[in-house]
Amino acid sequence: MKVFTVSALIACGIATVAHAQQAARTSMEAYLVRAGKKPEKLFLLGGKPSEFSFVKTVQSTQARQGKLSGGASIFFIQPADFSKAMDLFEGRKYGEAATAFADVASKYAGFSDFEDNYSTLAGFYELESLRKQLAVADLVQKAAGFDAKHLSNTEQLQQIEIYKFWQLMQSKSWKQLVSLSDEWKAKTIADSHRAQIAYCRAVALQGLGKQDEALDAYAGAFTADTFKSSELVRAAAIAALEIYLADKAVAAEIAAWGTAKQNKASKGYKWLVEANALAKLYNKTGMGSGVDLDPKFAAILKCTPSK
Amino acid sequence: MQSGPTLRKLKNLTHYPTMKYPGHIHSTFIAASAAFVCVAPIQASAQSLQEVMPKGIKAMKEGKFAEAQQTFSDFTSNFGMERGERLFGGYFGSAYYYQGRSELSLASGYARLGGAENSAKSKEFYAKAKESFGNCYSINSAGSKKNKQQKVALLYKGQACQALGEFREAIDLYNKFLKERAKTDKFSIGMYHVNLAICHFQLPKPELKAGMTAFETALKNRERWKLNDTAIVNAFQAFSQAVIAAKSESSMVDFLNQNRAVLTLKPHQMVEFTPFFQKLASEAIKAEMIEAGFSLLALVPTTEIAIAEAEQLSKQIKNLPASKFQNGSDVIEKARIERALSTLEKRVASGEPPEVMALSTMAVVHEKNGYLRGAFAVYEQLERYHKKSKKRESNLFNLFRIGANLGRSAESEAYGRSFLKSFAKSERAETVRVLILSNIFQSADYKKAKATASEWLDEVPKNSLQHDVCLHVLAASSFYLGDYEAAAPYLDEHCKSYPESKFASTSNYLRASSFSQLQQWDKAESHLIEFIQKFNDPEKNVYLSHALFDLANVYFVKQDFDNAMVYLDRIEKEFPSSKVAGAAFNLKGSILQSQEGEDKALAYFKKSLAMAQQNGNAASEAESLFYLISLLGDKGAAKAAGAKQEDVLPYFDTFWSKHQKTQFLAQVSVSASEALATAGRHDVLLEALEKSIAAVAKSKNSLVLVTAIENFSTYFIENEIKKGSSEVDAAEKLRLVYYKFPNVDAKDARTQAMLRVALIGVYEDTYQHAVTAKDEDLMSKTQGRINATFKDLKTNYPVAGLSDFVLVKIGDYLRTKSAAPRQALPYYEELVKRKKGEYLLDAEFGIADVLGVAGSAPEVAKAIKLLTDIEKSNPDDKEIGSKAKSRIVQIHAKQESWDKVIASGREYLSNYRKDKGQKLQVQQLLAQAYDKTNAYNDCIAINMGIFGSNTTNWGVSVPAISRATELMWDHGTDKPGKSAKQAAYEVAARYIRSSRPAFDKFKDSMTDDVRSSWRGLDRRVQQWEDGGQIKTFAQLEAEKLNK
Repeated sequence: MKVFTVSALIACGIATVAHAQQAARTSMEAYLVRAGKKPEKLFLLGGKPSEFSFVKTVQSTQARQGKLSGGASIFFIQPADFSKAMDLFEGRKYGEAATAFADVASKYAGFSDFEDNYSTLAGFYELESLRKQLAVADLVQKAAGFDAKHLSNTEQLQQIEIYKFWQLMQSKSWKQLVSLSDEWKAKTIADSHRAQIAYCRAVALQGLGKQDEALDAYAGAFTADTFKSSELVRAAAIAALEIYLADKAVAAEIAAWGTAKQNKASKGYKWLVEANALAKLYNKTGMGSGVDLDPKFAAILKCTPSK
Repeated sequence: MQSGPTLRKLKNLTHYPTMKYPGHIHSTFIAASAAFVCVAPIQASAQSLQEVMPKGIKAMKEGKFAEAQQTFSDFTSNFGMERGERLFGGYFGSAYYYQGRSELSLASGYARLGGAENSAKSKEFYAKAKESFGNCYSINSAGSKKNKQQKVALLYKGQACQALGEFREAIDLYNKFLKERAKTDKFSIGMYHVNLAICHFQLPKPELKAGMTAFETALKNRERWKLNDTAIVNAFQAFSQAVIAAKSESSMVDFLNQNRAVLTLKPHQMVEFTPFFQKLASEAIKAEMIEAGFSLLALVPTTEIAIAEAEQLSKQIKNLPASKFQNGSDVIEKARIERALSTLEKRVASGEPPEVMALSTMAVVHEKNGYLRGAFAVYEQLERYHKKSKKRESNLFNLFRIGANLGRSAESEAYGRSFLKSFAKSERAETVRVLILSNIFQSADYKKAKATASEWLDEVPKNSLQHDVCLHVLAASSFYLGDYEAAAPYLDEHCKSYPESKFASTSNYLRASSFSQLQQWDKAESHLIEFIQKFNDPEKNVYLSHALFDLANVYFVKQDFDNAMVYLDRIEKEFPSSKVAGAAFNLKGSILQSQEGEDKALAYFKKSLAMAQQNGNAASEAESLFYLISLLGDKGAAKAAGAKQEDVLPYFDTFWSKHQKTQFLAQVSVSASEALATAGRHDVLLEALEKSIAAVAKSKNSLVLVTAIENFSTYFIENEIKKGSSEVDAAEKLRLVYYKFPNVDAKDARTQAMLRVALIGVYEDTYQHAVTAKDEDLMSKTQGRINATFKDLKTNYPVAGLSDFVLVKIGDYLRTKSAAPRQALPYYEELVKRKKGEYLLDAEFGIADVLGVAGSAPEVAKAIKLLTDIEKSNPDDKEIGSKAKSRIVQIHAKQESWDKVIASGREYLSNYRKDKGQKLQVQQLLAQAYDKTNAYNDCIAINMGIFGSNTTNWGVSVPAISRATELMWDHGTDKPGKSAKQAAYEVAARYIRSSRPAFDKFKDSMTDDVRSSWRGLDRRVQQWEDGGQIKTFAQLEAEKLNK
């Protein structure tokens, strides 16, 4: 048995792997990174930082054991299946992306004890794919079991904190959600995070019957990160239009449009004009990201005020 | 050798990497720069091919493109194409090829330097390169002397054409190359597609489809063909510009949707392209391709996310010695990460991260498209999260402005104040102040408007818009708050300082109107006339109709009805649909009611109502109904108007169904009481009165409150008796209601006291009925209740806690309507103790009445002294003087001090001859005093005077003439030719004869007293005629005939 010894990688032993096993095994290409030394390419077979197995080449049948110490670290090379899942995610094919990330997370579960491993990262993106689909129940359920301790990207960690808003939304804890969103108002956070908080807040305010405030929050949701949070933009715009359409005063003004009964000083008229502008924006700026406005909003679109 | 600034600049350039395959035109640009460093003017003489080719290629490899170009150029030009091909075969083509490559490198180098001169040079070399590659292609291989670059020269000629803007030719060359190329030709297939795509995009009429096919082929194979980001970005730029030029937004959106994943790099890799995408997005949005613009901005990474990713990567690869390495499909470059981090940090530090531009774009798009709520939300985010932005002033101003437009007064004002604090010297500060003040003012929060205007008035420069607005708002707010005295100087200053202000007409109107409010009628009149003359254009002066109405009202108050009608007629003619028209019709109706009769008044009240209903003006409708109900509710007035009292009911029902909550409820309920009761609608009447009492209890209108309570008491008892209750039970039920009156605060001393006083009144009536019925048991019970209620009144509502009005009302009630007028004294005395107020005189008269009527001798003396003092204290007020003097006469008469009655009565008639109020009563008391003191002649005279002044009032005139003629008969003085008795007979008989037809006609409607008094006189005349002491009229007429 050969002993693989480096200063930071303490070899524990070498095991011979049968050729049949070699084909079925999951390995991860990685660099062993040590201060002042040339990085060393390895293929990790599994384990944890204090005890893991690896081979020097992907074809190698001789697995070795090692552990990290003295500030050494493992830098995983992005696996191709993760890249493909990311392409789906970036291509906004979130349903397929969620499945692909789940597969990646499962495939590389044996490496999940390492910092910034691709199993945990894929798990995170699976949650994000669910969030992007607004599959709140699934998101909340999966997020509850998600272990983020090996993620180091601060924005990803903050995103996990923000799942709390979605959890409160799922449990309809409206007051708690509004209160939490107030606490987050002063924080400097990414626009995409702010858009989520605004959206959840809007839903909560709507739940509390505060329609006007909900409209403000929806406006925050579809303007905070208009260009990248397309799923929130669409959902928030449609939710806002639903509020306008359901309002009795608006309905009265739709019925009175163009007649002597029209009351331009009324709240109903003001909201109707707002709704008309929003519906037009939806069509003009692609707020639906390819999803057309429901025909039920045609009544709103018809009520365009003269300039 | 080249020299000068360009060269010095070039010497600082460092080495740039070259492409493995020399296909990428931009890499060629970069490589070309290095060539300038080594430029050398070599005068190459004709050399052999064996010498020239290695020398030139060596220079190229060393990046010395000028030297290489010179070498190849000297060689090719020395031989010329025909001779060179003949001597060197295909090799001569290779010389042209390398010459072309050197020229391409030089051209791109010059292009990269920029500037007109370099651009011209660049173009010159591209043209040379094009020619060189063309020459190369035209030389065929000859045996072993092969032209190995013959086909690939097509590709490079295409590149030269592309650089020269000859895109069609470039496309043809690229296609020709692909068709003819040798298998051994090495080139970058990725760059080939990129360049082909760019050419299609850049044609004068872009061929989007062909270009997109080439571009998508390149993108799909990006990793395999190892295409770098810059090449893709260049192609994307050409594509975007072509799409924008062609206004084909859907092409852009579809392309981005299909290729988003390929175009989206890791956040830190996208950082360097942010300005590029922002520029493209701006161009798209400017071209109204908003969705395309948004799609482009979606490619800009979020700052926080890019920083987090870069920091994470930076930490992960810290100990990696390699400058770059392959990470799956990505290349990770340390320098690129550091560059991205540095750029991001600088953007954050400058306050201008890409999010600012993104949000600003959103704000503009939302506002432009009319969704102000969205724009407001965006500006709030900019203000909250991007305070360091250079555009904060503009952002905060827009936030304030849009907030104001949305009617979010409080938020808008807060942002406006924040703006003033942060940008006090901004050019927009004036606008902000003006808008803040205008918004507060328009929201009718006059207290706040006044406070704000006061705060700023001294801060802002005089003779400025801000000062104009501040002054106007301060003045107008004071006016609307009812502080007319405070408003006056500001209104005056505004009128004088800003005659051209857009608020000038408002200030002038309010100034005039404030005099009306202050009841300075003469000033109000002159200012209103001046205003109406000065601002006489109704198109510019919205207050004209109001001023006309105010002026009419001034004349109405001054009882100058003719002038009032002049302005009311103007409103009717010039502003028949104005807001004041309804009120004007009502006022006109009121004047007509007193001047020309109720029928005309009724017509105007109806006209006002019809207009209000037609315009849907609820307030005006309520007011018109009030006037109509007031008129028709009065039986006499209704009859005079040719209507019936019951006609009031439909109007009341309209009022009751729609206007219960208006200020008119109590007056309307009181006016309609009788008609409702007559119609048997006690339920609605009592409900209306109950609500009226509750409503008026909260207001200051005590007079209406008293009337409403009185009516409630009357109709409650009436209704209960009608339902079968006894008078006593009805009163008891009323007590239960009054002791817990709905919606009246138990601590409301004024109303609670009045309810108790009214209850005492009900008990008093019962007591009187008991007295009439001689029901001693009931008398005793009722007296007990009266006493108990008085006790409750005094205990729970001590005089010190009651208002002046309540004191005088309770006092008057107790004095005039109760059996215990002395109970009124504490209420009057409390008023006198307060020594001020409009009811002081009423209290003094009240005290005098109580003491004078039922008091002891000292109290009577005190009453007379009090009245004498009142008379003396008001020497110019004949009304008060006559009232005081007449009361003195009454007290003396009550005391049967007839001499004093005569003395004070004569004084009264002497000083207050024109007084109509108490004159008759004083005359009657004087007549009584003369009678008692046997002053017959005086008594005859005053009775005849009473008769003469009151002939139509039979209740007064008949007893007067009866007593006068009676005294004349008994004590009259004979005159020559006519005895006293004859004179007495003639006066009495003449009256009886002249009044008989009227008596016969109206006797049934006369009171018993009048009827018996007239008949008594008639009988006496008959007796005198039968007695023979006088000559009857018949006898006198017979004598006359005989004569």
